[in-house]
Amino acid sequence: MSSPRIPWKNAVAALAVVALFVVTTALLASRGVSEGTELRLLTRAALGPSSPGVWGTAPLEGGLPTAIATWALAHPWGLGAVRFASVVLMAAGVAATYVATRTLVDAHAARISALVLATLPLYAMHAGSLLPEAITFAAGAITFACAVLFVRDETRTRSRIVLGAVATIAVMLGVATRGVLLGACVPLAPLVAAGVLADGKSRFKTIVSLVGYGAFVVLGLRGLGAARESAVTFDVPLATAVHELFPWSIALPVAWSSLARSARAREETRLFSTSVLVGLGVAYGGHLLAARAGAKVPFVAPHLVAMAVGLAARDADHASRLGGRKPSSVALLASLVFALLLARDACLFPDTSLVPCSYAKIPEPALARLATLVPLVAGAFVIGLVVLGSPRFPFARLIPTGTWFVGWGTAGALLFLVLHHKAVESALSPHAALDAYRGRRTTRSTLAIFGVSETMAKVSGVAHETSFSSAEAASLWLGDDPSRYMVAKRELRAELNSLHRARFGVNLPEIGTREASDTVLFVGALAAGETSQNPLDTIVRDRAPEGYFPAPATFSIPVDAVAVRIEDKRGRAVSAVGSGFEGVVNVVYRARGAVPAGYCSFVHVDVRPTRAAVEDKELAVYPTRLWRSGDFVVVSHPLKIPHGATAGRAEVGFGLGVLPCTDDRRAEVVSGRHSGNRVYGGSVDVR
Amino acid sequence: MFAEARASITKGLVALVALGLVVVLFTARVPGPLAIALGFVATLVCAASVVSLVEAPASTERAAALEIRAIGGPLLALAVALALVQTGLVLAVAGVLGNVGAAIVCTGTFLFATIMAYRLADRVRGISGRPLWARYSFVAIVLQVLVTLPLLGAFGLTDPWETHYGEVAREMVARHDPMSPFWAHEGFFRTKPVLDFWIQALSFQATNVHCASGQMLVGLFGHVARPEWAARYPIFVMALVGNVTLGFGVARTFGKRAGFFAQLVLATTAHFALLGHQSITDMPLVSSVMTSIGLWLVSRATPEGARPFVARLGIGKWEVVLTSSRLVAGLFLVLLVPQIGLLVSRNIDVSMQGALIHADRVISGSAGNEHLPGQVARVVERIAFPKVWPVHQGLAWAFLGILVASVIVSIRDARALAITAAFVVCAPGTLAKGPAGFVFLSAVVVVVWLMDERSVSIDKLGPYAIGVFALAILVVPWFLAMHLRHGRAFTDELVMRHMIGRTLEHLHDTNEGEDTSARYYLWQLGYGLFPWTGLVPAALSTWGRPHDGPVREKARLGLVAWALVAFALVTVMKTKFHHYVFPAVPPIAVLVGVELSRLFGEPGGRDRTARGALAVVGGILTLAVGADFFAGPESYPGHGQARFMHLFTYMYRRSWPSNVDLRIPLLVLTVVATVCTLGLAARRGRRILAGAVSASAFVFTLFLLDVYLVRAAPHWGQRELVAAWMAKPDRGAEPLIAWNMNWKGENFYAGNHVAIFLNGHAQLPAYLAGKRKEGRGVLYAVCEHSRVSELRAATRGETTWEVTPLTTAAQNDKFVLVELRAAAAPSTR
Repeated sequence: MSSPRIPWKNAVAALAVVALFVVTTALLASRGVSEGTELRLLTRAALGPSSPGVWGTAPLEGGLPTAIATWALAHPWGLGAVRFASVVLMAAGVAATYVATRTLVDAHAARISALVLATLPLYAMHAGSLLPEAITFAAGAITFACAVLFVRDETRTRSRIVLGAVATIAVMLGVATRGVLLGACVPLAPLVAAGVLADGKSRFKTIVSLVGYGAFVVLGLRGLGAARESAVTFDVPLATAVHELFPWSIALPVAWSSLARSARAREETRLFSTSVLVGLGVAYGGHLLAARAGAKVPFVAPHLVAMAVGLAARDADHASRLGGRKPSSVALLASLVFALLLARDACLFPDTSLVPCSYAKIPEPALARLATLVPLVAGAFVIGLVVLGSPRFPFARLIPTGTWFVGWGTAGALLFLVLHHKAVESALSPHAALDAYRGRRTTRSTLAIFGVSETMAKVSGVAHETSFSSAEAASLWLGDDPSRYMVAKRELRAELNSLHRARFGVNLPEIGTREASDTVLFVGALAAGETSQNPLDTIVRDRAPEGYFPAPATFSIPVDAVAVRIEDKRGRAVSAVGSGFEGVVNVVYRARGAVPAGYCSFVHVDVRPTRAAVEDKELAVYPTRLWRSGDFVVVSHPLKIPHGATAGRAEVGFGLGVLPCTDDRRAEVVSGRHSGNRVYGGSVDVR
Repeated sequence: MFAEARASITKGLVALVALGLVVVLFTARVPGPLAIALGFVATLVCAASVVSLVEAPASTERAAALEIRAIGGPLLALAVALALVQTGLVLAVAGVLGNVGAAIVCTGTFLFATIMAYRLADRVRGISGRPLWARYSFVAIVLQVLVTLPLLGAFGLTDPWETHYGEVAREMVARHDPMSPFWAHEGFFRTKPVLDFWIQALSFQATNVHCASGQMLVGLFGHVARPEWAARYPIFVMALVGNVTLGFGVARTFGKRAGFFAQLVLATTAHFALLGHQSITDMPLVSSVMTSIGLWLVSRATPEGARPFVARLGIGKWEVVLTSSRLVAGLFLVLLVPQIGLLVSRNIDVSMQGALIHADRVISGSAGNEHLPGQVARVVERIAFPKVWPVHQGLAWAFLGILVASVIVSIRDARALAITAAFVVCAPGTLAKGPAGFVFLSAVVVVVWLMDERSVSIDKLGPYAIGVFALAILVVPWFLAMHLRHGRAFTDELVMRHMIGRTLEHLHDTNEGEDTSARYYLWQLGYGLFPWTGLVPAALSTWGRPHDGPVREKARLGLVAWALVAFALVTVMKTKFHHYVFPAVPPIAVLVGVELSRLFGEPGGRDRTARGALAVVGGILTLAVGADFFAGPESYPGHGQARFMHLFTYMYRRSWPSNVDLRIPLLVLTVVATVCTLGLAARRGRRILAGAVSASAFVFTLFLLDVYLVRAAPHWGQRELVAAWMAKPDRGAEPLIAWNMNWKGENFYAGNHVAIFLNGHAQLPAYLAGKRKEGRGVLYAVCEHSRVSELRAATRGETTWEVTPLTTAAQNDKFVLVELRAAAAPSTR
């Protein structure tokens, strides 16, 4: 079962590595320091090597990344050099994967494996970063490749010495970064595979490999006492890995099937399959232990997935060209269901399904969601074509099945990498706000930061005059001079805006805002002809919006109900809704004075048999404690009419509930049309 | 010609008389066990007569004849064994046997009946000399019975669903209305279809459970009754039938050893074992699906053009021809006849004075308890469509049923017959839990067609069409009758809210803060499949073995399609309870069984290295899943021990009893399972280790059902509290006060002789004052431990009552029985 040699194809492998460089360096150009691990590392490094906790206190946290960060901060070009070294190291990981696969399987599988690893978002997104995973991934791939070649029978002694030396260096790097469990036990899985493969034929080999490996396991388990009692359940690493390995995760059933079906392959390919299978198992176990011990680590063996996909795609190509066994239809069916369920997760649970690649909640995940959905739907389509036979396009039969897979996966991965990465970068880096400041600053301009890390500002290369820790002081400073700017965390917007309104009667001017960004830029005053991009402008107003149903009422707290309106998803007012309708209910309140904290707004639409009840808990965007006398506040409530709602006329009611809004405690309605402290908000036809 | 006509008329008359008897049994006050026995015989006679009537004599096949004398002995022995089974059950329910006695008697009689059934089958098939213990199917049944039956009724019904459904079934018997389910103080019950209540109610009748107000725990000779045996026994039987049929299908496809291991693995998975001990709707659904997929597997393994089975039985001068077509038609009619009888009986009252034909009547109110506080008053309800009488519906369904039966008996292709039968047996599942009953079989058929066959011919579609039509005739009557009785109130609640609504909306699930993405049911499957979870990767990696052939490949595809569709369906549903993933457990367990059979039979094999690697992966996975049961955080109930309870209950934050600590045995069992699974990586002794894995799973399931469940369940129910109340000599005829309780166990065990106060701070003092005026000085109440002080405060009225807890958290850590003693009342202690 050796693939026909077509020399030009081997160039693809080299191109894959080059592609990795191109992609990662292109992304480097727009990359700032991202919040999370990278910023934490730099901050710790900035504290100095003798400060407590600098060298790592969390489980499975080695000192090497901190040492590198310290070195990077000490040199003006240090950060760039480290990023470049990270790209080179990870490229070496791709090369090692290629070499091992080529030696044990064939060049075709090796090319695909290298391509998959080079474009796998989890892998590529870490290339060029200061993150410990850059070392862990690359060292893991190199160690695994060396180990699997080391235990191979045909390897000569001299080669074994070289492989052993390289593996030792890689293991040391891995252990210094992520400890023995993830840095050594996972990539040395071929030792176990060799023991399994020896299968009683060579007791010496079995004992040596298993005892040697056992020593690493014992060392790896030390210090993981916290894992004894943990809320992390067995499924967590599986679910996380499925999301992290996107888009190739949907090919996992096919890849798994190929690994398990390689019984009839030559001895070396069986060693390869067994090593990858055991490696995946050990990686799972290692991750579970790490997670139980409290460490937050992504899937550390993406090279194993790349190898498995390479083998599967190569098998599929052989089947369609040389008449070998077709991909298992059962595995393809499983992949199809995987794709559809993951697409659903991307739509409904973006925080769960997208976060593993970004390590943070994405404020506006539309772009990232698109980047997830498109490859998934395309993947499902391709799998469907393969399941139902060869794709029915005129040129389709010229392309072997495995290439369909690889083509789809690579395109999906690149799309995901670019779009999702952009979304993540926008969300986690203050780049947009700092760029906006750079574009407007004059010699008189001064910048302050509020809620943003000093280290972040330092490594971003923008000088700031001061930093604040209290909203009052920040607001006073900003309002005193129109040429003053402030970079602040988005969640501080409401508080600053309230203080600004109290002082000047208008909303706080904001510029250069990107929807997805976690950091925003405020300015003391707008230039002539300039408009503010503060999203609170549509929520906190000086007068009530028009076109609403009047619902005048007075509460026992200094708030009046003013008006209400049901809108569809496009923002158009509606007077009739159907079963399953989704839209919003906007309620306008007016503050008569300082309003106490601790209220939510609720809306009921009395459809039958089940009332549609929605709450805007804590008035998430603009809580009542920030309301000032005279403010008109428009509170939005997402509305969904339950399926199976009976046709008829349904009354709309609304009011203010008492936090945590889990019972019927409400602010008393003292005047206006109401029942049970619920203001009458008109009615709506249910069709 | 004339003789034929006379014979037909005779058969028709016999069928009518038998149907009439069924109708009479629905209306007349005949003692339960007798009514059930008579009804069963009448249904069989009616079905047999109709089958005999609709089949043309010329269409019967030739086969060797068998004289009744030849099978008379085994037949009689089987009849005696079945009578012993029922007697044993009646005694177990009456409480006279105790837990150990009931375990021995019920298990022993059932095994005796099984042996007799095998003896009879051997005699019919002309097999002799082969010992039973050497037969895979027999050993599998014995093992399943031994692991699941002994302590089936040894613990109370568990919250919330078992108590809920038990109360609905109890009311069904007490109110003599099997059509409109009703429960406690909440009126008509419309959250689930009816099958689970029917089978429980039948079982209550057959075992002489006293369902009347205040009588539930009244046993024989002063013993406390064990109605749990009656509630769960039908579930045990359905689980066994489902597993045996599925195992039979696997045996026909993958070999007898694979069938054995498939049955063994499924019987010893945590989810199957636990839900086999729960009288709720899930096992009826899944056993029905298992039976249907088992028959589908049989159809795939049957060669094209094979003829159905035929046997001739000579009874004196008569000859009875048994064919598999007749058996399937008979099964269809056996499922339909009681429904027709029920419909007809709604318009007829039969008593010693005669028969009275009347319009349908629906009366609300709990039998004998309507006058108690908080209960629903006895009111004659308005019929939504009064002009369409149930008897009219019954006659229409009878006509359609005869039509379908005549088509089924004419099927002369064994494969087509198996397909039709597969759809027929979807009916119980559909009547138990809605469309899921037929969705899985349909999905399997479509997926296999789409991925493998992709050609259509009319003659191949025939059996599917007949099967679907038969299924509709079995399922629609109750739904239609309920709609015609209750109108949109029924359809809106059951169909729109609880079937469609649960899929599209969150409906009172308790997963706040949980990640309910695709990972959710992967998580629960890991626990549900324990201790076999580790072998799942290996089982799912055997796809497409080259020497398996197309039949096995299609069977595997069908099983995986079943698992994937079940998984995808419950994942897409918005409402999520842990047990919803149960339909995905059997196909995966079967695949594990097939893989285990291969390990047992081909310990070497070319793919031994892949198996070795998969064993390593499996060992790691087994340990990882097992650790969740004993190494959870302190904040999780029981450090994770509660995860098994969560496979069939809800309120996943409910506390774990502090006096129940089973972490050590769980640790030991996990380590044993892990070592055995890891050991499969070795070349030598793989067969022994495969046996060891099976043995460890068997021991684990025994522990789970006979130790874990028996010790934990009392804290999830109200049986012991109500039994303690019943034992109080001074309780008189006063009802038990249920203070802010809505678990329905208090209603079930007290026969709903309960004064219900939900948020009744205003009503309780007045009630107590009234009782004091009547001279009552001592009353009893049940409530949650956390609500005792609330109850104490609520009893302060014009009379003062001293509130004293009578049970401790060690007995029940959630609920407590309290004594309310009027300040001036004399002490009885």
